[in-house]
Amino acid sequence: MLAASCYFYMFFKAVYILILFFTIIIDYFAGILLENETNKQRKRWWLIMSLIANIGVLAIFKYYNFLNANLSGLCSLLGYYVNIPYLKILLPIGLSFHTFQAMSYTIEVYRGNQKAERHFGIYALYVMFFPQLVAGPIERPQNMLHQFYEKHQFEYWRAVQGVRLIIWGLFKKVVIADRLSPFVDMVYDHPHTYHGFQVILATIFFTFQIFCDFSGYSDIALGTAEVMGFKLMLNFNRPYFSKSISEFWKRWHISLSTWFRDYLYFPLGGNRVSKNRSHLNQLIVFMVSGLWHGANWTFVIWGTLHGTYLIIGNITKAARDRFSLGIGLTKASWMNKFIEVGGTFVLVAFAWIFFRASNFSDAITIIKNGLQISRGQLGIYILGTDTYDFKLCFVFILMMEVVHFLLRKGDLNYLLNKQPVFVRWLSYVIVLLLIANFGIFGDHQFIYFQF
Amino acid sequence: MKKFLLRLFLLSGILVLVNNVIFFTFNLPFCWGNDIAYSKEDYLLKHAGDFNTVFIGTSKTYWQTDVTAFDSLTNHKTKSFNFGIDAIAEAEILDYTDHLVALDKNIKYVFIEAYDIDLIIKQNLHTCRQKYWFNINAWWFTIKAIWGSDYSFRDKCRGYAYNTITFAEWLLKWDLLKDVNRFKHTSPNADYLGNNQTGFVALGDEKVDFEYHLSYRDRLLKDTSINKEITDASTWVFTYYQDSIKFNSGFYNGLESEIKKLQSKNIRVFLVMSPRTHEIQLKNFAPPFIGVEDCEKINLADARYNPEFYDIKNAYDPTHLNKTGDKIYTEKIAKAFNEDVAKAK
Repeated sequence: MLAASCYFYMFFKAVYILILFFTIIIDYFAGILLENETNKQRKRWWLIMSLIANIGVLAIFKYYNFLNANLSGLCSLLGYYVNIPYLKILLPIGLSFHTFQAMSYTIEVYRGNQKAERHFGIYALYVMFFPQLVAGPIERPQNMLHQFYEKHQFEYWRAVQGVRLIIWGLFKKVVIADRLSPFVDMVYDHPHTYHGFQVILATIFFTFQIFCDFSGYSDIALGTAEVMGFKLMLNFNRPYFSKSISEFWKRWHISLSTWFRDYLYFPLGGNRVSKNRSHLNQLIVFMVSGLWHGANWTFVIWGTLHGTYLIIGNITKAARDRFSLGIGLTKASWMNKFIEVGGTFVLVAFAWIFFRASNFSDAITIIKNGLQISRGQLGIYILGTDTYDFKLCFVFILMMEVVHFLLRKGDLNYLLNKQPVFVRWLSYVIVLLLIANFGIFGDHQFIYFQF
Repeated sequence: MKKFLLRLFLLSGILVLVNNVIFFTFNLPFCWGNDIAYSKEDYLLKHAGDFNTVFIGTSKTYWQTDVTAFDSLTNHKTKSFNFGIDAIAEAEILDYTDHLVALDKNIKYVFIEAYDIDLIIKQNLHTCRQKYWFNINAWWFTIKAIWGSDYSFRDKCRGYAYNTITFAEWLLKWDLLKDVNRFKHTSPNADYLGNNQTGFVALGDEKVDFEYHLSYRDRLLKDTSINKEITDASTWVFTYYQDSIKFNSGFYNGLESEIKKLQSKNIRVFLVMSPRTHEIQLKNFAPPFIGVEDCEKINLADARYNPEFYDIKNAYDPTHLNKTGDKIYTEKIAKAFNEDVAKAK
């Protein structure tokens, strides 16, 4: 399994496996030292050194040029000329994912929640387990390490459930995400050219593209692990059905949001501090989360926007509830749910503009142009490709959301297991036929691989 | 595990069946996935009975066999159509041959070009043009021919993998619906039929991909060593093939059985080997070509006996002839045809 994982990683850029080995070796020994150390002060130092090593790798490969550009800019503003050379290096694939997974191990050992792993191969596999190596879910040692010791025999139902997840993930990726991609690229790569409905439509399309792309990968990862007898944590739970931003983050990239909750938000004091401090903590967490996604201010703004949504949402919650009741909308009413889900979707979609735009100036242009709505822009086919593809985008998004609606009481396997054999097989055949006939097969990378 | 694999197999079977039924309902013409072949097929279908001779082959047939000149040189015993399609391999040539003789029962003479085994490279893997026709016969012929070929071990493995993937894609009709949609919105293109509507287009007169051909021609003009390399390859292969090249029995058997099939329908078969071919390709098909005994063979690839085709003044680009070369090429084929017909009498 470790050899397969190494091969999988080296497939992208072989030499970068050395970086991975560097962090694995550091954290492996850090774990043992942390467990053996009885002196609290020294124990803390071991943890700090391990974190510095991990964050150092991230800083060099992911943030060096970003920090350099900002430092140079700041110095020139102050009248100093600084010329620090830029690094011309490719970002190792999935660096942020496996670094965070490695960090969760040392933190858990430090906290005493996890025993240090003495078997080097098992620890290396924990960091490198190929289904989730390049784009998560970011696992916890408590969930994963023991599974590598268990004997895994082929189980029919696990394999079936795994294959179902793989098929559903593939559908989201190749039928929806990759079909939406050219429309989104057309607008976001030429922000000055498109206006009004075109921008709004491209933004809605990106909202679904990024979900289908990332959750599609997660489903494939979960399914692949399941076929082999491993259980990975759920990473997405119908996020666009969220009724608030707070709920959205309990459903979107769950493994990352819980990572930040456990290892940043709680240590900062969480909500056991004053209200203002708690809001500041939330803002810090979301800003860092934005930065985790990429070395660009647009990601920081995206994170800050979500943090701000959350704080305003908390502050205005009581007033909003009173207003809803005042106009006769009870919590359980369909209209109320529709407004909440719709409102959350609009806020999330707006924030995605900063996530997708190449830079801050493009994002502002897109927002400004998006507000210039006129009748003529209804000729949306100007977005590129043909009407056939365009109509298919709507059909498949609708189809996916119908399935998501049906999944409100349980996951995909829960839903399918309840159906008679004929319905199950019919669903398999339909989805596979859609993949075979409507999948976009080319050099489309998963968006989250770059993080 | 057994139960799981069985069900997976069953599911795949259902998928193949359902998708093939869906494709059957589109009622697609045989050559729907290749614009040139479809334009030529459509013309032949509309003029069924007009032709008694067909030339089937690659770009060397398409751009070099002037069928109008050929018919005049045979004293109009023939009425010929050029079904040359650029960038196709032998399995596709044989597949078109089967289809065309079934399409037009009037065909009495078939000229089949002997050419390369395997053209699936990474760049055209998964393309509609490669997979829409790649049926089990084509796959089996190619696999057998690769086995007996002069390719390196690595190229053989690549060949098995790419051809098997392509066959699986054909079987499942994988990712072909968008191409069907594109096909439904296109019409036959008369530019592919040439000025005389006979399927022949001389290089230099082509209206499609003209610029691309010009850039290929530049290579020959800029680097004269290319011409020498191609000439030397031909001389070497035809001088030493018996001692140095493994006989490709897979390729040979495929050719033989196709010839027998056509002869059983009272069709006279001519096997043509065209000049200016790369060494590895020549190594693959020259020995089986020479080995075939049951039909007339027209070997124009041997530089020792056809030096005019290797003269740069008769070449358009590294692997094709210009109009002067086409004239000589067509005359030589007509001469061989006339001799064979006279011999038969």
